[in-house]
Amino acid sequence: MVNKSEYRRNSLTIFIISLIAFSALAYVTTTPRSREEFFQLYLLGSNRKLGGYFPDNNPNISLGTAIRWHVGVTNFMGSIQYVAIKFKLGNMSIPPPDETTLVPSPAPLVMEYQRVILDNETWEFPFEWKIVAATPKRDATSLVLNINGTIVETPGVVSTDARNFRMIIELWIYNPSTGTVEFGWVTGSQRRIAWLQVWFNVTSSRQ
Amino acid sequence: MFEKPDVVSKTLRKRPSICLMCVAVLLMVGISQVDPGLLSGQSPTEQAKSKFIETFKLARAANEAGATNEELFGLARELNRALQIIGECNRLEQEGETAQAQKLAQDAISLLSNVESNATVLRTRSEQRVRWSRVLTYFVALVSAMLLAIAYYYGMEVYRRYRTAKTMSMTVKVISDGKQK
Repeated sequence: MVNKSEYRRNSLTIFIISLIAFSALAYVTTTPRSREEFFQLYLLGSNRKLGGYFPDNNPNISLGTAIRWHVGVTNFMGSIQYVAIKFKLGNMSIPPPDETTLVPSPAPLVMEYQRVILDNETWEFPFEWKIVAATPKRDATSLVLNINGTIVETPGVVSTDARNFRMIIELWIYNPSTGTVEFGWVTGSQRRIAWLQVWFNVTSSRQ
Repeated sequence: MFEKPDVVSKTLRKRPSICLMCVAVLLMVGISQVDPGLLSGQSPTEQAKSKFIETFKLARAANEAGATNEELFGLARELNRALQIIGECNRLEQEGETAQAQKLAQDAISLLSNVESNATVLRTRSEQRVRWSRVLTYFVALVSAMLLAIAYYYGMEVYRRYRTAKTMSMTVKVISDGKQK
């Protein structure tokens, strides 16, 4: 028959084993789980749907045609973030952001919006714009835009026959380790970027 | 009772070190009263931007310390309000309305000061809550392990007594020719 001292020894063993098991469980529950950190940048048309970025889905837009987009960014970084969305006007020759070197587009900035967003929060805002004037210079054309009520001139961006302009949308994030707002974000040891572009042509009348 | 003024000036002339000390103290007091932004040569809008970054860092620190989205919601709203004001300051500066821009920048700075103190309090509170919750979780683990060991010990003790009692109450039964006696 098992005596009392054997029970004591067994219960001590049970205590040690269960303490290890429960402590492991406590560690798992109190330690935040690592997850993939990223941002989602999106652009919707006037009906808040994919597509329909231009009236009648025609990218040949005439002066004064109002274009309404919805731009949004969702924070999946697991912490509060300070983000900036930069709108740049480019053409065929100005390069877009470089996916390899992670360098932003050198196209001139036409508008910038900034916001502090919480984890899992989506920030979406309307982006209304129209071409107020198209100024011909020799065989090229530069544009004057009205963006959300602000007049923006872009003399540095010209295009032959007023074709192949593009609106580039870049996501910039505040990096606490450098203390600056940078293009893209750092997750682990990797740097990631998010950007979008929409091509359009300018016509004197609707085609 | 009191020394005459000319006597005082004579004394000071004799002791230039006292004069130098007085000048140094006056300078230090003066510097401490001056706005730090003026010393760094920053415009009020630039000061507001720097203050915004500092405040955002505090909000982020509170988040990393364990503050939830619900707790941070108010801070984020105020930070976004400050961002709007700073944007307005930039616009006014570009239009040459410096006085108005300065006034708005001061508003942004005072708003951010409030957010800063709230963020600091939230950070401390979150740190304490996380620490206590961790301590409590490990304490529950310890108590659970102890209870399990005690339950085993007394359970086995009861079982042993039951088995002993059962053994002690056994009776000898003789079976012969298939009949019990």
